[in-house]
Amino acid sequence: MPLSPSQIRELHDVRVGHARIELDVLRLRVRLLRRYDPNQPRVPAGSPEGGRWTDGGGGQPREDYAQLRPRRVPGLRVINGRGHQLTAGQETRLVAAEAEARSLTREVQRRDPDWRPPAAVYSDPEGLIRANQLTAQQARLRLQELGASEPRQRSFQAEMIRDGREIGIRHQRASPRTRTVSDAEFNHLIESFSLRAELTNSPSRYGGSWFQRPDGSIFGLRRSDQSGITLDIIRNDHPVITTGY
Amino acid sequence: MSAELRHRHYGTPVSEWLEQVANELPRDAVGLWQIVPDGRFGFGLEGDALAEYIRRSIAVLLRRGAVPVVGGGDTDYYWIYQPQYGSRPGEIIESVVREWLSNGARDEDPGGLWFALPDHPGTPNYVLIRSS
Repeated sequence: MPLSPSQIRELHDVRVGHARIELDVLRLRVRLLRRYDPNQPRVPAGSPEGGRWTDGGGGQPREDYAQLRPRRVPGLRVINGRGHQLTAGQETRLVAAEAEARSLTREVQRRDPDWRPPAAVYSDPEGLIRANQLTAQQARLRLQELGASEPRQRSFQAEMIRDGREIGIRHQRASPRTRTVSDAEFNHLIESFSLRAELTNSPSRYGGSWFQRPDGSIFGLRRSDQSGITLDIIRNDHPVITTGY
Repeated sequence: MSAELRHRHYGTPVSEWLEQVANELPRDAVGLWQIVPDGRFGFGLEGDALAEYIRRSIAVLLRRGAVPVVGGGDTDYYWIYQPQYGSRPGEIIESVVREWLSNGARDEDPGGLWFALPDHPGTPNYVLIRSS
């Protein structure tokens, strides 16, 4: 028996709802996977700090910097229940695409809390990158519909120098131009820098990707052994936050 | 007695700066693309003075056990050892500076030469050591 138009609409709504739930579950799984590294050193169970992240050196736990610890299998992502080994290029493009999608989605939801990105079907890393790019695109359209503007683009120095001081810490008396920031600060930087940034040519031996911003500045994201994803300033017109930072 | 050159922004004496840069090695490699602008813009050096700054920088990195590498790109390795620069510190330093000068003494890019520790505990694929 053919379905009535209202039944077809109902079926469609159920399918869309189901797809959204599946997507939320997958996102949750990816988030959990990224937060958990079975090889990461921990304070032995039974001690007052048992289970908290450490720097591996027997010192004080460093919860704030847990996400910057190395992953033994860099670039591993679960997509639709299957593990995928991402190349450094894919991983860094995905980090930038996710950051831009997050930033724009948050901006939309400040004005329209019920707005959700469209459900997307993907089965591999490139599909996941495209899904995030689609989310960013849809969020931009929604912002236009709402008569709102995108988050303001800020220069590298505006984000990385606060109250006259460079953000982050120097690790083990390293050069002051090499900073370690918390996971939250790192995500904030990437979300800010990725807005309208375009993938640009990078040397084949660079273990990641370069992105050019509308003001002409360029930043790089690469995979680093000890620090996970690392941000490099490739080109910027500023005396401190400049090439090599 | 002349005062030691200091970094224009941070005020760090050059000898201390070079040690601080090398302190980064246990966490990450140090690239020529970072060393050259440090000397050129951080310390205001050009010409022979800049070449000498690069020599001193590389000498400290080699003394700390680093070897010349290029990025592994999308290989399974972070870095690939470059044996063609030589095996002794003096030989490596002069080969690198000679190449940099012959390329026009320009600011390098991150696709070029870096210096990395050959072994990283817990990371078997850190540097690919290929025989020359």
